[in-house]
Amino acid sequence: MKKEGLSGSIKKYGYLCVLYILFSYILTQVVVDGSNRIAQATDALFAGETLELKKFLIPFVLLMFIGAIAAFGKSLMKNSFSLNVQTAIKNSIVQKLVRLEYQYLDETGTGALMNRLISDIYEIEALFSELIPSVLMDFVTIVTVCIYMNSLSTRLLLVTIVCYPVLFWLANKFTRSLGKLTGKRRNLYDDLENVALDVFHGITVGRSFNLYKIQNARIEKIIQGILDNEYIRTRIGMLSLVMGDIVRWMPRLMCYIFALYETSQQYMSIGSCMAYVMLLDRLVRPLGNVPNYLVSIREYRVSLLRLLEILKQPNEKSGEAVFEIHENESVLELQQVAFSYTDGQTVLKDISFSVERGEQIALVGGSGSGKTTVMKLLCGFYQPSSGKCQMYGHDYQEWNLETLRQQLALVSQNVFLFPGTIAENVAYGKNGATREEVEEACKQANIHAFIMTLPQGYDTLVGERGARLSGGQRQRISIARAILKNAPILLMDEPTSAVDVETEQLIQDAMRKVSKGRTVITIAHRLSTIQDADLIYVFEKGHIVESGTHKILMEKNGAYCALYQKETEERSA
Amino acid sequence: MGYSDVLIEQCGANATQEQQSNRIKWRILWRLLHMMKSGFWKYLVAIIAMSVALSAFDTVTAFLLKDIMARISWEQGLMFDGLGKNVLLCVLAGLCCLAIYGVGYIVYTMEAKRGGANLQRVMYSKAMRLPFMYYDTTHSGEFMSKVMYDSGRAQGIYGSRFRRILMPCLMVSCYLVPMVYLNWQVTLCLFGASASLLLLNTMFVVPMQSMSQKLSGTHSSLTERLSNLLAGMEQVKIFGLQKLMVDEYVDANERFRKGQRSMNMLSACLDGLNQGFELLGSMVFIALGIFFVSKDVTTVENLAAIYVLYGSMSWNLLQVGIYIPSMASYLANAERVFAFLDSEEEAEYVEMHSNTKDVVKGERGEDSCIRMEHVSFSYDGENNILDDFSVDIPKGKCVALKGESGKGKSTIAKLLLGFYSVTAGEMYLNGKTYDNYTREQIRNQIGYVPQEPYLYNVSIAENIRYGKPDATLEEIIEAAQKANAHDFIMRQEEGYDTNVGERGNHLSGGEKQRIAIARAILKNAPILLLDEATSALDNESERLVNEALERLMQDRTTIVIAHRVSTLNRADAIIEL
Repeated sequence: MKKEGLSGSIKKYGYLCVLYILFSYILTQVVVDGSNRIAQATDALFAGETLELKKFLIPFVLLMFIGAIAAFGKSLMKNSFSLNVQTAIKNSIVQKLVRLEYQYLDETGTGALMNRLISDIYEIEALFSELIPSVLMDFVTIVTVCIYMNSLSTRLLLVTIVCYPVLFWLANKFTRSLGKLTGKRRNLYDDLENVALDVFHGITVGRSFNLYKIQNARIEKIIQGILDNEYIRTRIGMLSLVMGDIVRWMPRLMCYIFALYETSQQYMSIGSCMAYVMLLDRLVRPLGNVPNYLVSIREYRVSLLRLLEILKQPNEKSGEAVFEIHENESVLELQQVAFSYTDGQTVLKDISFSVERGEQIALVGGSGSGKTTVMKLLCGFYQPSSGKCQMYGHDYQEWNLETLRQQLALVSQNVFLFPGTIAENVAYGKNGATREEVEEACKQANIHAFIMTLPQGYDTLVGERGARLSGGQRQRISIARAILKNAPILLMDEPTSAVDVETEQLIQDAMRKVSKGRTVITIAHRLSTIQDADLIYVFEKGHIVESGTHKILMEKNGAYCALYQKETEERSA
Repeated sequence: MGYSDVLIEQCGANATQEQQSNRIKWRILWRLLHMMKSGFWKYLVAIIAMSVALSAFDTVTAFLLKDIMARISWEQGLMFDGLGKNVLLCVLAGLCCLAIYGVGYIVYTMEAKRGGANLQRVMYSKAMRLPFMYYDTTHSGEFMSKVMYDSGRAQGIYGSRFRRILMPCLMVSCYLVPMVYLNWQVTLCLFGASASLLLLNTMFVVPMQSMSQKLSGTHSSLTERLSNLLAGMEQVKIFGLQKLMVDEYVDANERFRKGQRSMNMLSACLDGLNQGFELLGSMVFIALGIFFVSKDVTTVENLAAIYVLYGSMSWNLLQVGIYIPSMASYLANAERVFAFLDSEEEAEYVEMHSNTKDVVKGERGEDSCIRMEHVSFSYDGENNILDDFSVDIPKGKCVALKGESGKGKSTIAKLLLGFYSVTAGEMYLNGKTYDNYTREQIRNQIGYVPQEPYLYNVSIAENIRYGKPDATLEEIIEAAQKANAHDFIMRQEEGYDTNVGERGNHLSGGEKQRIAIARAILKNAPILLLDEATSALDNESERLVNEALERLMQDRTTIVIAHRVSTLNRADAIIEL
């Protein structure tokens, strides 16, 4: 594994940064030298000497070319540096993401994590493409210009530099109060968006209860709040703007007058005075930027820390061992497994069961009963808080995770299709699958006929921008993917959402085919589909309350029986 | 930030559009500004005042410099004569300018914000008045991202785009006045140099724009990959796709880097050219200066003042070049905003297809509450969801609709509520055809309990109050009690003031249903339209919900979309679809 971390990539591309500084220096020096030549020409003019234009212009043309090249190089170096570093950072983030513990993703929420990542990456890009180059450039400029000014008049330079700390202090004060209001503004806009979404989601209720005016008033109230806040913000913003102008202006006036004094005392020539005036802007602007940098650095730091936090998250733990599979071992076994989230919420307590080769197992129970968590444990997404999970007689922690997962195929409830073609999505099941294999899997999954009706067939694009597939179709594509993987253990999470009868039969049929000859564990939401299961475990509040075949459980007349009766009642309605 | 950076940023901002035109659509701009109403004049005056004040401020400073430079060649003793007065004058004038600028800034910013807020207000209230079809077919996230993105950009025109073009134009003209006064020959040459620089830069705009459009496509696909990776993490892990996914991402990233590299090259060229031109400008300035001074056409102090003003003028001129293309792209967003605002709204009346507005009596005379006669309906104009459907619901009775999903049960509910107009047939309410009532009147007659009870993200009391906006707290509590909701509400930390969270997330399914029932109880409409929940509740909360429903159904005409046998048993008539 290459070292591609943040510090690694900065080291690797540091030379670009050094070149950037060099070009910045050359460019500033060109400007300084040009001003110096103008100063000399002015002096000569005042002394009454006749100037030979040609003699004056040739070095100037030379300077022009050097300046243009330096500007070119500087820009190129800057962009290359930031581009390379950004690319490296993004790559290392992706490499980290696929290795993160699933539980971290689950608890942070992929949506929240995504939002954070997008905005943080954006910030970091800005850090490398804007802030860092600007800081370096300004630093180089300040130093170079100061050195030259010092040669003109040390005292004038001192006066200039002394005048500026006032600026920093004032500007800082204002930005701080502005920062608070900006935070409030962001919250208000979030509120506005949330209320608008709320209104939009609830449109059925809104329409049927004639809530148009009331909902409009809710939005109006927030908009008023925004305007009020903006009013305060604008006034402070204006003050800081005008103050900024004044503090930039005053020192300049003072410098003008002081320059006049210096010239009157013959400490300085009129040409030097002019050069000084021309360069003053070059010095003032970077100096004025310093307070902004302080603020930006504070903001970027937050983003940087958050990214680093993600990069520092522990990787998914994986054992090293690759075990032989023995025929007579239990395929899966849970021993007194308990699980709770990091916030202490307990989801599973004392779960034990084992699954033998070729068995068809079903997990049933209401939502929140813990059956999905069991599935996640079996996938190796979660580690039990206590107790043991075993596959073929070896603890999950001993297994090499990749090998372990090669034994598993998953048909999950929320089928996620990656952007790409249908064929690609199915082919994810097996590395290097041929088109024939893909089609064969799709036939078994009862989706081939449908795919053939699409104009582009297997090359139809899916995902956010591609064709809209129904839940049932996605489900069958994911079954085809699982078929292609041909793993001995199959984990299935039945879809909860209702599909029409025909589609359901197609799915059922596909599931029957894929179950053949495999060990299958199903989370069932409709009890009618699992009556043939070898063993049914009934979950309630993180416990297994009953187990047995459909027949035994019905005779028991317990929790399962109650669930079953309720379902039949609903079905008949 | 260098010029090319700003340019890239502006290009990138434009890049999200598929088609890019650099022509400014004046009609759109005018309509947008017109929406500010009287605020527009304040807004315009403020921009003009800001431009004049700011350029006057620079001019004052330049003239002080001129004065100071002139003194250098004076005799020793006279050098400081009257300087104090001049400086004082300059400071006063400068402060005056800044004060005007500050006032202008406030007026301008507030008008811009008001305009933006107004646009937002108009957008949101439009979004609430669309035909129901829109909500059935559009994903809310899509709406928020597309429409609100466009409106955000349109607001940007008020906030900055308009000023960023107008102000530099005005300021350039303002700078030219004192410059021409100081020396028109030099000024003319300098202006020519700046203008050719502007021209040069505009030539770069087109290739840079097309390039950055392509790049931004790659860039957003990178982000998309990242989010797909996260969303599909389960599959990635189980199918061992880590390496594949990372490799694909790294490849895409590499492609982006390659594309960006040529972009960097282009922008580096532009930077080099600009820098060269800037130096060329100063060279021209010096050469001309030396020439004119030696001819006694002008003086060194005039040249110094011109030089100071020239810097500001040149910078402002380039701004115009940057922001005109970006204005064009912002206007394209505004155009979409207007298309949205001009789209059709839900009409006040339901459309009917017979010309009779007669008052018809039901089969049982006056007693008919709701009647549908030979109603057909289709969403897309092709497949009929309902075909020649008739039903007559007498006052005070309970009718249950039964049938598999997709047979049109929910569609009937939507027709009854006036969300859609029927394709063929007639609907009657209290013996009159539907088009005798406004949609609002129809909806006032019906208390609706949807299948998935939607709760707004406000307090529990507020959610119930939506049934009857002027209800007192006592009435709300009474309704909650009838709906078996009072007890659990009192168990909440803040009782009735408890916020229910996004979509009512802080409450369980049964609790949400009971609040929806309380809302319908409070509304006290003569007709109850009930879409039963399919999701299973535990026995206790199911009992509470059923009890509440029974109370709600008393003395009302009820239409139930039934999913439970117990409901069917209670109905006076069952209609199978």
